[in-house]
Amino acid sequence: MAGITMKSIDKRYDNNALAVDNFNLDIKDKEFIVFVGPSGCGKSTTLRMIAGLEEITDGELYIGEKIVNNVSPKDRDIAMVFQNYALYPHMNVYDNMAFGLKLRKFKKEEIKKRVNDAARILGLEQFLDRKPKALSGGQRQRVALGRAIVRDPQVFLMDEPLSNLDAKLRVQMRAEISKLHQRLQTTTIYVTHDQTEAMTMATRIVVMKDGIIQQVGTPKEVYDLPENVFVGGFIGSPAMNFLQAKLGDNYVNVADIKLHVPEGKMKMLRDQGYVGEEIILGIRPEDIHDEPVFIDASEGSTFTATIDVAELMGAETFLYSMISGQEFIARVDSRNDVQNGQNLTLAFDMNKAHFFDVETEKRIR
Amino acid sequence: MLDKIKAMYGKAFIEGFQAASVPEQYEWFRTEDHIIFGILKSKLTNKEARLLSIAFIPMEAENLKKTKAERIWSSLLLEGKILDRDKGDTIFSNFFYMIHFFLKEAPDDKADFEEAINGLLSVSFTIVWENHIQGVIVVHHHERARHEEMADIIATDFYIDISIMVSQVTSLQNGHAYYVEQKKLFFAARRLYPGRHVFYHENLLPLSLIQTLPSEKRNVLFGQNNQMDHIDPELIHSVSVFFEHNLNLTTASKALFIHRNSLQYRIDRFYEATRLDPKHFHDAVIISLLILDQKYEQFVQLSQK
Repeated sequence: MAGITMKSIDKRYDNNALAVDNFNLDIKDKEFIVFVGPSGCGKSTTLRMIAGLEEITDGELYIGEKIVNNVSPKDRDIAMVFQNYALYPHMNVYDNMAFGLKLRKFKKEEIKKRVNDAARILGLEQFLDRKPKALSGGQRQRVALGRAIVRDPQVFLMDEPLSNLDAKLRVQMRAEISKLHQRLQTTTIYVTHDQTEAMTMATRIVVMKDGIIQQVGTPKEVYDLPENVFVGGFIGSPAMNFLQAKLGDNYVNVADIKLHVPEGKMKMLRDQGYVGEEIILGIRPEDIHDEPVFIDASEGSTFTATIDVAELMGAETFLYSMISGQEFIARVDSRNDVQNGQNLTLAFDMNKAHFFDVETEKRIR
Repeated sequence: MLDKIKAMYGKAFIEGFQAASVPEQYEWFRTEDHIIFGILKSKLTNKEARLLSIAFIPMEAENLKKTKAERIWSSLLLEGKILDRDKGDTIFSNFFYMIHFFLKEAPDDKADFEEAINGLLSVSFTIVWENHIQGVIVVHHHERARHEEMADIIATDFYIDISIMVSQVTSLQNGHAYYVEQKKLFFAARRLYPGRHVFYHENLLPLSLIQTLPSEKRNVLFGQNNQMDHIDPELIHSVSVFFEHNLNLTTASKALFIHRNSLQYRIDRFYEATRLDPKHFHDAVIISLLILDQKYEQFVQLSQK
């Protein structure tokens, strides 16, 4: 097993496009790191540089103690799993798992042992004679994982491995991969555009945009303390609400609505000279409340809104509305029956509110 | 004559390529009757080798390893030759499509690569290697292969980055010319779309058109200065993503991670600047070509550097 260190890594393609810019990251041994970000943010390119499939334009990559920039991919002791199952359709499951080892000239007995061990871990023992087309999507994905496991690598690299599965299976496989990681304890780097996957699987998340790391942290850190507007909006579903506001002393104005700012947050904003300035107020949908008890206790942060759409999701309801001409979503308990078009008193939990600089879009702290 | 040579070189003479345990240790020749023989290099002086090359056809050991199908396709695609005796061969009648491939490094053993392809394709195929990292897989029957999976599986098992381009060839008469043109197109596509690994010839048709045009013609058609050169690159990127999402504002804005209205605003700004509306199909086609021409021009300039 090994950790990975990336120091000032850049990737510039031949057409001069900068795909990854000054990437610095220290991945500890046995960590499950998730790279998350929108399409084209450089997450897959970074993964492929670690694999050695893409050259590193600048910077240093270490696996364990060893610098591997010029080490051939096959000598980096890694195994990869891709979005496509990457199985040989005309080989059975056993041969699919054995092929990589055969290429590396492992002895037959060793190959047999490793394939059988991996099949047992993944519950594939009864399918070893089957061809991929006779397997379900989930079983195929397990074979793809098995092909990586048999190599017993120092690092697993997974590039959107669940994207081809339907929603139900994705949830199931998500849990299986997490369990597998707990069992094997192999350092894993996992790429996804799905923030739910990132939140549920990662020990730490790396949020990326335009080839640049936006934030590195545990799922809770990234969710509770987003570094900037992008991270706040990307992590969480529905996304964080962002409202253009102006800061007064002890309150913030969202157009004509005045919301009280708790003293702790106010002091920080005051100390940094934001009083009288435009700021961005960020509030998560679950931090907007409609329960009478909360509203009664939240004097100074309530307002009345007309609910455009109330979307019943089961245990909770998403309320789509506007505050001073700006859209927001609230996530409330379904026990309070809310109808479309209803006028409703809501309260912001201002202790949970975030404030962002208008220019830099960074969280003020 | 062959008997005399045989008597002269004794055990250093060998008839037939298969008889040699290490073919690379021999100089190989072919008689007019297609008899292949080899003589141990260590027993052959330079002068003798030159004389034998005059009397017989010299052969490379690498070529001799090829199967009949490999030899036929290799001579057609790489050299533009169809030998008379091969003209009626059934190999040609079964031809269906080609997969050009480019590997970032050579596999340790080409036979392993061939075995992997065999596991991926259910139909017969021939691999023509142009060099250690590049070549073409000639597929002899139709099959619905998953080419994206092919690229991923080679990367997973061989730890080699591979790019492929799937293409049809309609006329074998011009097989060599097609091959050369497609190879150029494949090269340009890899440079223009560096994150992509699988290309389909039909999807590269616009690039093929632009590539085939002489630069003067391109200047006439697209203008000496492509009007895209004056547009904010962020706008061009937004419009490109909008096209990739089939003119769907909602999915494109999600991919760009901007609000739907922000994308709408960018599209409006693009229209104001160009009088071309990305939301209208005909204008979208023109814009796509202009953007592609701009990218291609950048590629040409970088290549010249």
